[in-house]
Amino acid sequence: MSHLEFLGAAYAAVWLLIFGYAWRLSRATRKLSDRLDELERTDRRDAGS
Amino acid sequence: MKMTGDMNALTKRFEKLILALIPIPTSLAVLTSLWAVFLWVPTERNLGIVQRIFYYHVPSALACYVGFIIAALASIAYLARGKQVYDHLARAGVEVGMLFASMVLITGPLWAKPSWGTYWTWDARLTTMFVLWLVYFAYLLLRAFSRDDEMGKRFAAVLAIIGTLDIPLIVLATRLWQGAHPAVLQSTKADSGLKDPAMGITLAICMLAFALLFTWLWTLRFSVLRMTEAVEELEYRNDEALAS
Repeated sequence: MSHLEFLGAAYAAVWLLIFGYAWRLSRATRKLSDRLDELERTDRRDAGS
Repeated sequence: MKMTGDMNALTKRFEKLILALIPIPTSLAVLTSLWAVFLWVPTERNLGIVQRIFYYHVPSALACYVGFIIAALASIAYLARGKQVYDHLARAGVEVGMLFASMVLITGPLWAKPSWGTYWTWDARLTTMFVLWLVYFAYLLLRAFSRDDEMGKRFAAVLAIIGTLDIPLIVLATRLWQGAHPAVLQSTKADSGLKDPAMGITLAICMLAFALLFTWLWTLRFSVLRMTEAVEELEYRNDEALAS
């Protein structure tokens, strides 16, 4: 491997880790936000009836 | 009870504010860091182009220390006051700290191979860094298998506090024990350190980018933990309502 390839591999690894983790977090946030809205709606409906 | 509610509302507002404000400065800092590393900073004379790994390797290490120190402080607060918010802050700190610690352990060997001829050597700094990674990996395993019970959280908090004792050892390793790892930032020798001012500026830009990235990811992770808790509470309440 040349020095340039080592440099490329290091930066690629850093960005893969960051984007992978950020993607996982944003997916979890979206899912939880939807679930929270759904539960809050149910909660309000139950409180109203 | 009211104070806890006020604190939760304040935390939520602060979290929303960070998540709304941080993406633009972070993106700008990251793009500037990439421009500085690949297009602006001069190539180091002895190590060549591969030395540019340094500009992400060092900020990753600092970001992981910050994550683990935050986790230790939040763990102390959790053990003292027992509030869930501190446990969330600690857990988010460890997780994001581990992300950056993993970057250190990946970029280090990729820099070591062309510079030292080997990916890994049991040098004092490398070994103490690996120990730090193992300690916090154990923390994550403990959290994954303890099913969030009180005892598991308390054991994890103690582990998070003990783990930080390794950080001064890592920082001082190059001074205490002679090894292969250079002490670029701590060296007092005239012929070492960052020779060109552009190198110092590039490192500062990368540190800013990593500080912003750390804050963004840590807040996001904290937000996920807080929302998970809220969902579990509401599900429990709905189940109770259905049962009665």
